[in-house]
Amino acid sequence: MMEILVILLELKYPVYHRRPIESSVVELEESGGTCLAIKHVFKMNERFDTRKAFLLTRKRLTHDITLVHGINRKGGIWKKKRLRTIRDVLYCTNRSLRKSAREVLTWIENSDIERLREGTGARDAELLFCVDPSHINYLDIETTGMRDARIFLVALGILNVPANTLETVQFLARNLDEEYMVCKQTLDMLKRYPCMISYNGKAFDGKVLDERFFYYFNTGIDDILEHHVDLLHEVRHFTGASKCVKLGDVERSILRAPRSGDIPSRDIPDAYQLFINAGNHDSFTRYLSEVFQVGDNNVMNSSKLVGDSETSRAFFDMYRVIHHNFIDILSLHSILMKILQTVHAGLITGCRRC
Amino acid sequence: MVMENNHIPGENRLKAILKKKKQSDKAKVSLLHERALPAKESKFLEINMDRLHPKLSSYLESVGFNFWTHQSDAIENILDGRNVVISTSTASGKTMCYLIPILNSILESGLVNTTFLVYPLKALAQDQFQKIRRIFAALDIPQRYIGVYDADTAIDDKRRIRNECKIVITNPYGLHMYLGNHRLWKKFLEHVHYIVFDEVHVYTGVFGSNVALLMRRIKRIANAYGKNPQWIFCSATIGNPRELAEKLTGLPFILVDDDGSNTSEKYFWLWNPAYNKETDQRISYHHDSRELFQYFIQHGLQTLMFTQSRKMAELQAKWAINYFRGTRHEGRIMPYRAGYPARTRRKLEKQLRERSLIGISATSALELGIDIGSLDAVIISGFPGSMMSLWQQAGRCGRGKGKSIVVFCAGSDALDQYYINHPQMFFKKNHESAIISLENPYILRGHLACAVKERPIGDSELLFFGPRAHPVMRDMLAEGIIHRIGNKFFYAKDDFPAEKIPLNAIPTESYQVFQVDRQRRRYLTSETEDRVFSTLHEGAIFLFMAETFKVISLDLDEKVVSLKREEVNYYTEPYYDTSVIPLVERDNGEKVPARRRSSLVPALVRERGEGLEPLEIHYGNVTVEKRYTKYVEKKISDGSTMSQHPLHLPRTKFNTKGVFIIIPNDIHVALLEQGSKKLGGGIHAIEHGIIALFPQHVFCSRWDVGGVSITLDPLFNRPVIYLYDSFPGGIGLVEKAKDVMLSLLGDTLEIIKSCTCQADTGCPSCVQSPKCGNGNDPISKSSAETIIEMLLQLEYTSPRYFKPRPSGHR
Repeated sequence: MMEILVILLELKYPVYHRRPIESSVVELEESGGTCLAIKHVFKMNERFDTRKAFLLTRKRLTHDITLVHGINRKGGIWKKKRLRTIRDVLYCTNRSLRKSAREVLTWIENSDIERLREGTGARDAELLFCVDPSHINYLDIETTGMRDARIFLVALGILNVPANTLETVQFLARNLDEEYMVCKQTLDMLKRYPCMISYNGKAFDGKVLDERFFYYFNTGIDDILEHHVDLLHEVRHFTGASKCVKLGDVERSILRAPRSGDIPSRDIPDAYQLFINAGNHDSFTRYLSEVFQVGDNNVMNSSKLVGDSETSRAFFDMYRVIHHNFIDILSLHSILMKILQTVHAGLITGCRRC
Repeated sequence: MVMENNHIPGENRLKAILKKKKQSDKAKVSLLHERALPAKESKFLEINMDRLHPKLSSYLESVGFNFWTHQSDAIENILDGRNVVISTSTASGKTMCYLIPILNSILESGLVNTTFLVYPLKALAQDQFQKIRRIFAALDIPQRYIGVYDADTAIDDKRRIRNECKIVITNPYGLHMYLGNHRLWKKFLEHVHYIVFDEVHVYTGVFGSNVALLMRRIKRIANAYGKNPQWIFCSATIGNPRELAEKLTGLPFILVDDDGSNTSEKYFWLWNPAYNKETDQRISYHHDSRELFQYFIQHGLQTLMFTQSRKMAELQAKWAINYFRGTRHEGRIMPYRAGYPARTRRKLEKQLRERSLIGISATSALELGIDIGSLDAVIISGFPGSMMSLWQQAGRCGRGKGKSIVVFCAGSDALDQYYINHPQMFFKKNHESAIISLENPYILRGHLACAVKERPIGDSELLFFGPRAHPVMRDMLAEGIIHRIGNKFFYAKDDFPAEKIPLNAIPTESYQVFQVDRQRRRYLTSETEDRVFSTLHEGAIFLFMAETFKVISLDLDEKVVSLKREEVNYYTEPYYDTSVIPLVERDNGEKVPARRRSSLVPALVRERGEGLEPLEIHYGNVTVEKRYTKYVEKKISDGSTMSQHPLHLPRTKFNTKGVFIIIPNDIHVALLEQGSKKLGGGIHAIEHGIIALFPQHVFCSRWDVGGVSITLDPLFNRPVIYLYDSFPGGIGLVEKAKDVMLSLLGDTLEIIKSCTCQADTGCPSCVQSPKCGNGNDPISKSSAETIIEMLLQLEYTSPRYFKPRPSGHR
């Protein structure tokens, strides 16, 4: 319980409207125009150790014999043959399996993300160990609507691993003309660190950015990004949920940190419209402080989902619980409850794969 | 006795059927002209098969495909990388001209290259889809590589088609929308090699002007993905296929029009319904068409009748069905028109091909290249609006080896009568020229907004959209629709402009029309302001889907019209005044009304005594003001006026292009000397005649051209006939009209002289117009005749752009 309390306390991010927002705001100006940048640094708790979390995924990959070409997931036969890790496959009699296992191990050792992705079918989140944790952009965008949306806010988070902090920057377009500058800043960041983690980014954030990048700079997002992890895909895959899972549900159930101090996503375009209509300084803090909080929360929670060693472990191990024990999970709720129970009961640590 | 059977009529049999008809009393009066169009032999020319993929060449050899000359020519040019426009007759195998290079490109690229096939109708797209699928199967190309992508495509299929298909069949309306989300088409556009537009002759007028700008947008987007696709156009025979293609795209084209296909001998009858002296009217052409239709069917000829309206297509079929009830032809006659479910239409087309249908009455929906096989007889009931359409319709029979008959049954309209009385003009096959304009600011504005939304536009790119693009962009910049960063324009709104731009109309303010019954309000349609003022003003009777409604209120602020259902025995007709004021352009681009001429335009004034004034024709910008003054209620039974009511509607005003015929004062004097005081009626009749015959030269309808005649114009101090483009901003009609004005005057004189009507006020076959805002009053045939005869003897200077000093200029 104490642990949960600590998490909740740490999730109390600085609330913009309780202090002057000007202290965090910088106006960026370049030849393409202007936009605002709102910067913050969040101290993460001790349990937040991305490097460790990522190494765990690497370890898990070496244990996943289904990455070897020729071994499928349902093959109970491999268990009988006592092939538990990829290294075990190196000693099996089948020559082609041995060759394939050697290749996979080499790719894992070399952190060859391209080949692992194309040659093994490993999931995006499982390949994060190939990337330096401080070279990942945690991203969330806010738009003026769903269809033909224009981007007015991009929230980006970068981890400072030695200092154990998350540095967020939010680029705000004060009018739609400033979208160009917001996109340019985002493009520069993504070019610098071409790995992105988002929530529902493959269906929304990534597509909108792709469209806008192509519009302004004639370049698609696929031309820039080397790796993109969509946490929604991962959550759905690992939990077996067939429906869309909102980030709020994940926060509540996995992170155990329900939202506070921000506004529902559906109200954000209206808030921005009110800000545009009012067009003065007061409206900035009045209408947008909660929007900035949403950006921070989204980025922060995305990073926690993959970087918090306990959560991450639970998150990934849940997958194994489901698939290796052939548990037929009917609903997300039951899955999440199961994970939480297992995390706190320490059951997962006793899994034979770890 | 003529034997009935279902086979293609032999030479003697068809001759016997026609001979029998010619001997009837009716034919002796109505059959004005008969001509046998000779058969044409095929001309073949081999292509270099080494240029084709081995799979394709072996397929063509296996099916024994012989290339007609135009096919070889087109294929070789396309393979050489040129943009090609193919303009040949109906059923001349145009599809294969582009399909072979497309298939070759797909096979050569290892199933990578992609093609857009664009058809103006969804029915055509489906027809071609089935054909191409069969060829895909023969070439072992997976069927999933071709798809139809339009509004009827299931959402699940759309993603697959975008990402997988090598040939996507669509329509221009769809492309207009899809371009806004071109990133979804990334995979397709990265490999787009050909863009094919079939039936390009339909892209004329407003529709053509819109499509021309759409094509420029397509080209820009393809360029953004690093592709510069080849363009292939197919067209029916028109006056200017190459000019049209080049204007549509702004790119150079090669024209292939040496038609090598064969045709069989075809008889052509020009049929004019008899004149009834008692009623001073012709017998309805629907009546004669109906008799001919039934006669041909009765004698076993598979007959297609083209009517001018959906309603008439239904009625003609109904009459024939009733006529043949209980005979062997029962169940073998059907109507065909747009609006039927796709499945029904496919079924009817198949039945026609298989000859299980003997008679079909259709609208122009069957005019375009849908495959219905070869028919024995075609009846064209009323002039279809253009010679191009008429020959397209006539081309629906005689595709096979058997002989066939085409009957053109003339309506009472002036243009119908002109052609029926001038068979040399009719058979001259002098096809109209399609016109498009890139200068209409209303059309341009919409497409530029779409283009900027799709991709930022640089200054240099603007030229591609025509000379008017710069000022339009300047206006949009001032209005905050776009903004500028560096030397590029960006879209500044978060909407989807393509949704607001109709491709076949000029965007104008529209009114919502509702049916109001008790507490319920049902949306019926939306109409343009001009149409609302003319047919949906308070008290107007409005027909919609065969139901009668009365307008109970017209809210000009909310732009809402409320109707209620009411059965009445009258219809309403609006009266309006139109004024046309020539405009002149100031140095800053502003257009202002021209000043009175008398003292300020000395260059145009001639002193009396210097001989006869020449005939002056000017053209330029005009503003048209229309004011609806009243409406009359007329009995349906006899058309007599029941009552009149004033209308209090705001004036409508728009700028467009006009041509002005300035009648010299000498003619007025000469008329007076002859004892005629009907100058007004004379020039009014000339105006109607010119407008009626206008479509003879330009691809448009009489409704696309407006006119005003003034006996003493304050600007020119002379009688003036103003003709103007009815579309705000103009679509290029006037530019064409000015060059053929003398010829139009001569034709008007011909039609007046040849009309058999007795009254000086004329008839719909000569100088009466169905759209006259003054109820064809005053009007005088005799004065018109005199005036034209005098005009044609005058010295004539070629038309000049109207450019006096603007009013208020010092």
